[in-house]
Amino acid sequence: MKDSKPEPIFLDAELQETLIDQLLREELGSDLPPDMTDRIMWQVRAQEAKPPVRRRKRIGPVRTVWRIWWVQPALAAMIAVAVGVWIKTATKESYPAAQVTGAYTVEGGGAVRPGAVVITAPAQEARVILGGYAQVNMAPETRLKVVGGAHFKESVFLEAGEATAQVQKKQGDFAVVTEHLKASVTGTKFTVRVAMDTHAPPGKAIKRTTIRVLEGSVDVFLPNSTLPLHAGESLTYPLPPVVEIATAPPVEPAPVLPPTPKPPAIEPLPDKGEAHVIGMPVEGPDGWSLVERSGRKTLVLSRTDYATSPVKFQANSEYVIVLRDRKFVRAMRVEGEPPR
Amino acid sequence: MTSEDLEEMIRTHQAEIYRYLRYLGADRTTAEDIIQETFLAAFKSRETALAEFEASRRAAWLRGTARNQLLAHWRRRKQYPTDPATLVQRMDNSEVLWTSHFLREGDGFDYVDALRECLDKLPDHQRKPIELFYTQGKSRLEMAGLLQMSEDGIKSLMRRLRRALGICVTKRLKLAPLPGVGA
Repeated sequence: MKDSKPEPIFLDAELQETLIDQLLREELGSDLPPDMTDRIMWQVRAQEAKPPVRRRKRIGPVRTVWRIWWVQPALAAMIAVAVGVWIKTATKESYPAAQVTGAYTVEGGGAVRPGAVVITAPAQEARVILGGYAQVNMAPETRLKVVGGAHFKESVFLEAGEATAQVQKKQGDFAVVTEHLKASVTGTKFTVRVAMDTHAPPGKAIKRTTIRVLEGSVDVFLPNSTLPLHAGESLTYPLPPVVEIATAPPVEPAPVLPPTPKPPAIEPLPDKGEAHVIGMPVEGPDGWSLVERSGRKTLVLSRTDYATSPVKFQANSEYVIVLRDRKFVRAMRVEGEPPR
Repeated sequence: MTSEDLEEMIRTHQAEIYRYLRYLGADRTTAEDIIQETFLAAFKSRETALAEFEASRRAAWLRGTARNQLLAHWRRRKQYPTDPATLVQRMDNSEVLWTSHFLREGDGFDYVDALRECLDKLPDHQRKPIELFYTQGKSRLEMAGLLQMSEDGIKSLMRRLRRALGICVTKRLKLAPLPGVGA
C-alpha cells in the first residue's frame, strides 16, 4: 500500500530544478543579487538615532487615606490626566527633529525647522532627515522648504532643483510638493526634479516637475487627477501639446456633409507624416501609430529612443500616451512580460 | 555586534541569502524585503555574538532566519506556494540539498562552474530554448511561436532541460545522485 504523503524523492528533484533555474537566471539573465548594504545600514542608523523611551516610576504604597470614598476616583482622574499629559510630552520629546547634513545654507539663517528653506549651491549636496524615517538627498542648486506637519506626516516643498527621497516602510506618511503636483508615499524611493524645460522652443520655456520612482510606488496628485506611479516609471508635468505636425499632410477641402453629432473631445490625429511627440521627433510611420482602445484614441509608441524626452521612457517598452483635446494626459507603459 | 560588523556581514552574505530565498520560491521584491529583515534581526540579536561565528556558521544562522521570515511572510499573506505539510518537508529538504550539493566546497563556485561547463556542452537544439528564455527573456507564449510548439510543450521542455543540467552537474562534481532523478 502506497503512502499518500508526498514523496521526498520528488521534492529533491524539484528543488534541484529550482536551484538550476535560479542559477541560470543569474548566469544568463539579469537576476543578479541586489546590493542592499546602504538600504539596511540607513535603517540601522535611523533606528539608533531614536532616543530611548522613558519609563515612569511605580506609584508608592497605599496609606490610610486611601479608604476615604472620594480619594480613589479623584486619584484615578488625576492619573488619567497625568498620563495624558505625559504621553503628549514624551511623544513630543521623542519625536526626532529635522536633521540636515552636508553643505548647505538656510535662507535667512537660523536652524532647520518647519518653514525653513534649505539651499544647496553649485557643487554642494545636502541630506535632510525628517521624523527619523524620511531621507531627502538634495542635489546641487536645489531649494527645498521643510514644511513639517504632524508627527509621522512629514512633507517638503521643492522650489527648484532635484531631490531624491527615501522613506522607510510603515513608519509614516511623506510627501514632496511642487508648484505642479504632490507626490505622496508611505515607503519608497523616488526622485523629484523642478527645472526649466530645455526642450521647449526659445522664449517659451516653462518650469516643469519630473518625478521618477526608483523603488515601491508613489501616488502623484495632479490638479485634475491622481496617477499611481510604480518603480521604473516617471512623468513630467505639465507637458506641452503632444503632437506638433512638422510636415502635415495636405488639407483636403471638406466635403459638404449633413450635420453630424458633437465631435469627440479628442481631435483626430494624422496617421502619416512626421510628428513631434512631447517635443521629440518620431521618424517614420513605424515609430508610432494611432489606435483606439476602450473608446479612447491613444498614440502608441513602439520606438525606444526617447531617452532624452521629458518623460523618461524605458528601452524596449511600449507606451500608450493618453491624449485629450490634443493635450498630454498621461503615459503608461503597456503591461507585458517584465524585463529580466 | 557593531554597525561596522553588520555592514561587513551584509557585504559577505547578502548574495547567498538572496539566491537562497529565490531558490525557496520568493519573488524578487519579497527576497529583498526579507534580506533586510534578516540582517536587522541579526543586528538586534547582539547577544548571540554572531559576528564572532565562523562564516559558514553565520551563513547557516542567516539562512535559518531568512527561511523563518519567508514562512512568516507567506503565513501573513495566506499565500503558501503549496500546502503547509509539503512546504515544511520542502524547506527541510532544501537546506539538505543546499549544504550537501551547492555549498559542498563552501561557496558554491564549483557548482556554478560545473553548470557553465554543462551549458557549453549542450547541443544547439537544446541551447536555443535556454537562451530564448533566460538570455532574451522570451515568454513561453513567444517561445511556442518561435519553436513551433505548444505552450505546455515549452513548459515541459524547459523542465526537462533544467533536470538534465542538474544531472550533468551532479555527475561532473561526482555528487551522490539525488533519489528519483534519472541518471
